[in-house]
Amino acid sequence: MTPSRPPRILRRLVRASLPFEDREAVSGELDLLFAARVERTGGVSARLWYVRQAIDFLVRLAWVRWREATGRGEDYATDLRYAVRSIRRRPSFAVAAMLTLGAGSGVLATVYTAAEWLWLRRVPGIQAPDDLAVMRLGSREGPPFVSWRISHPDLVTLRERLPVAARLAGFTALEADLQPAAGAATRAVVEVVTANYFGLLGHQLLAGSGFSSTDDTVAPGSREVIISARLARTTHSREADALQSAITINGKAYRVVAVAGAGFRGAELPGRADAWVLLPSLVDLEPDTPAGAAGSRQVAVWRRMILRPNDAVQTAEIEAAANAVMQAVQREFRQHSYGVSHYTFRVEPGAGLDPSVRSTATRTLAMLSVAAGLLLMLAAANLGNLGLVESTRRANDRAIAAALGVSWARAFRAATIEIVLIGCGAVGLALIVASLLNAWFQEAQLDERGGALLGMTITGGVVLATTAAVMAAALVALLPPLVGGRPLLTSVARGHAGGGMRGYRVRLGLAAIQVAISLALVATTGLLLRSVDQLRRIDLGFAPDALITFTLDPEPHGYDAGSVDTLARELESGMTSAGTLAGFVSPVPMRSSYLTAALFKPSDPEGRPLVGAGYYVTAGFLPALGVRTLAGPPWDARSGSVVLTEKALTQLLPGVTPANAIGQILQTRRNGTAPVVVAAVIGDVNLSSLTREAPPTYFRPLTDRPFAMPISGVARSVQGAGPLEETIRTVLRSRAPGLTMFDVRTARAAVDLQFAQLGTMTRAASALGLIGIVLASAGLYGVLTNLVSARRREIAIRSAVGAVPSRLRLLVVRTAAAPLAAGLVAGGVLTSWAAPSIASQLFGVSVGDALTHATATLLVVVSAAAATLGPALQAGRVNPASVLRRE
Amino acid sequence: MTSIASLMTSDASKRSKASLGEFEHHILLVALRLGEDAYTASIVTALEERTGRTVSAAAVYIALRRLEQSGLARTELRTGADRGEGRERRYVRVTPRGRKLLREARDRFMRLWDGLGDVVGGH
Repeated sequence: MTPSRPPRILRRLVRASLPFEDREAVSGELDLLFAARVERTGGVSARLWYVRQAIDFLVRLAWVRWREATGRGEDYATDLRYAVRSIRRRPSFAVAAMLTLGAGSGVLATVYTAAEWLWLRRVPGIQAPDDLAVMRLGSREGPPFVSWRISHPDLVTLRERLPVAARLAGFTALEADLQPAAGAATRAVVEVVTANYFGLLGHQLLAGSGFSSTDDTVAPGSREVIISARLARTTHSREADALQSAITINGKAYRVVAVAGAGFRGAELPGRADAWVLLPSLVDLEPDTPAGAAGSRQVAVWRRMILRPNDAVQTAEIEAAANAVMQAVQREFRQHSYGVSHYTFRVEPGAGLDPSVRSTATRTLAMLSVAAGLLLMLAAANLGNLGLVESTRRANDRAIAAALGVSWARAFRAATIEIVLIGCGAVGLALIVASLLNAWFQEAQLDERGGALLGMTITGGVVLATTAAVMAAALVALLPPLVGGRPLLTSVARGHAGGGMRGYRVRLGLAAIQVAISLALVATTGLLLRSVDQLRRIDLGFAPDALITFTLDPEPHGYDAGSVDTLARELESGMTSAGTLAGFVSPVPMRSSYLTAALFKPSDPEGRPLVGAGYYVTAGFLPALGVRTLAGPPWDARSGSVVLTEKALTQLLPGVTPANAIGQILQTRRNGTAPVVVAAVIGDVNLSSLTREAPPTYFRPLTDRPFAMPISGVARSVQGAGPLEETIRTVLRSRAPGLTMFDVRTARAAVDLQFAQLGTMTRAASALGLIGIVLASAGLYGVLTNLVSARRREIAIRSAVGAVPSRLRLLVVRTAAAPLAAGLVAGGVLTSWAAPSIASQLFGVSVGDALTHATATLLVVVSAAAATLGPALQAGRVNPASVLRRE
Repeated sequence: MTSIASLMTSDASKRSKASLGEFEHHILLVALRLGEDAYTASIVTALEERTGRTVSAAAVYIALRRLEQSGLARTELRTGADRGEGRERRYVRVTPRGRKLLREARDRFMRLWDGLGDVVGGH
């Protein structure tokens, strides 16, 4: 339908912007023009035209009103035009300044983002989070993020006896296989919570009324679950439609009784929970949970407690009160969860970041801050250089302006507007750099426990802080050189307005500072890179690059030990049929910790055991790993057998060759009731603790493992087979469709996780080192180009009196050598001061490693040489006739 | 020099309030052509027809206010009763001072253009 009138809201806006006496007339005339447009060009085009006209009215009338009110409009408009014209006349200065500021501030913006993520972020969906406190059972001596569980009756006792707690809730996060009715199975975090959890948080559910039971010890009639809005969206177009739908958790059927509010993923950040269940459902997540766990003081279930104190109390008071309750329970009850004397309750105010993630993220933030500081110094030096060069170029303009009567205040204002425009461009670039770094940090796992900086986003506060920092840096660095000094017109006419040797020496000094900082950055990067390389060179006894690892958790799905073994063999057989070498192991290998196992030395008169790392495997595991077999036939992983590594053999049976060790009987218990037979001896492998010496390692059949654990698979593709991961998924779907495969990664990636933080720091340092060396080279290039330009006359005279081009080029090179040499010396001092701070991160290389420092120095020298090449060639090509003719 | 001179523009403009900008020049010419029918909408339409460019109604409105403040034009609110319209419009009339400036501008252009027709070409 063709519109007969313009959009109503816009029409009202136009009328509101006009003086009262003109509203009727002007809006009526615009209506006429609109109608004519509709007839001529159609409704859509006419509406677009009206939008432009409305914006035009709003902007222009606002501008006119402001000008009339301040009397400055014409002046500011002129200054703005002058600033734009200056930038267009010399875009190289503006672009160089923007790039320098943007690159230097991009890391700063990332620091702001990380700091806001760490300290200022609110948990979504919680009412008055600052009034909450999170409590956990920790250790006096251990790290602050370690916590133990307490039993449900002990939590109830805390509820009853803590004088400060109006309400207390408990929660424990576990992983499980979730499968919505209409979706694929995924591995997700499920939180077991007390019935008052959502009420205590003040969380508004998006749909549904929550759990039907308010008693934590009584199971509701059917299994109930509350799911996240994110999970609901994966299977339903509207989150509320997921209400009453079916979902399985570890193969058990659940009914969705509510959908959590948008963005809520748990009371702790970074929130990862997608489902919440009550305490009776714990057995579906941990099958080993004994019956009656809710009423037993010995069965520990709650890893975290969250409370909303009655009044504003200090965390120390809450801690003291909770520890007093704990001591009372220890006295009054024979059984309780506080079994160890060094347990202590720790309380943190407010709902916020998981302490384990906070500690890792704080270390990363500290590293980023140091790097940001160095880069900013580099950028400031570069900016100072740029400003001095531009100041020389504009000396003529300043002198003429002063002679024509332009006031200093006017020139100051015009330069300020120009710098603000450049600053706006730099802020944009800084935010782009920060976005790229943020995206990268969200992918990079910070350490083995997990903890990526998930959810790190650039907020309005970050934009404001970055803008303020960039504008301040730009104004401080560029304003003095652009407006400072009012050279006399006579000096300009004589060509003496260039700033002289003093400005020139300052520029060389700034170039030296840039070289020093870039050397420190590159040397630090080199030390970290060498450490990563050393770690990757460790002989693991197998080749990790061609292997894929993945994890399954069959026990919660009802598999017992025997059926897990059967499942593993079936999967192994299926993968072998599909052209893949595969095997299974428990516990998960390639972690920094391992399960200890012991075998008793037959020759030890005191019967001491040799403690090493124990892995329970299927027959295909060792061939898939590709280990070297020293003695023994292909192992069939029969119950009661064991495979030893060479190191284990040497310590258990000294003097016995691998061949003679086959068939020997070893004891797994002191009383001799559980013997095992040595079936094979293999070369040493390192499946754990990469940075420490590999322990003696024993491989026993999967069927002999002592308790339920997730199992990991390793697979290697045989030539001609299809894509490895897809092959594994196909076999898994056909044999065990309800099981989810998770933590799928190459064995190399799994091993690298042990030094994830070092890897993250190295990648960040590499990026920053590259930015640093580019900035330093650009700074040196700018100084030398300006040198050639300023000394063109001298160079022309030298050439005219007989200097060959090579001597002229050498002139430039000698000039560059001075700041380079000074910068290298200063950079060496700076590196020796800064490098010890990363000593704890290094592996296999010392802080003063000569090769690394020499390579870094060479890199800086080569980049400086590249920066010198252009200006040197330029000096060699100066045509004395044309230069002197212009004089 | 051009960029420095632009800093001086505001000072120069303060000295000569009666000088005409190009856009104001066009508006006055069109207003003269439209005679009794000159109001914002008709001026916009005529300018677009004559110049072949899209014209901002807001720019015309503000320029008319400026011309009125400079005494080069006069505006008054009237209803189009003679056409049977009840709607108010702000009609524009060029003042004698405005006509004088237009004549001077025309004479300047004629002198500058004199003899250049063949050089530039067209008609």
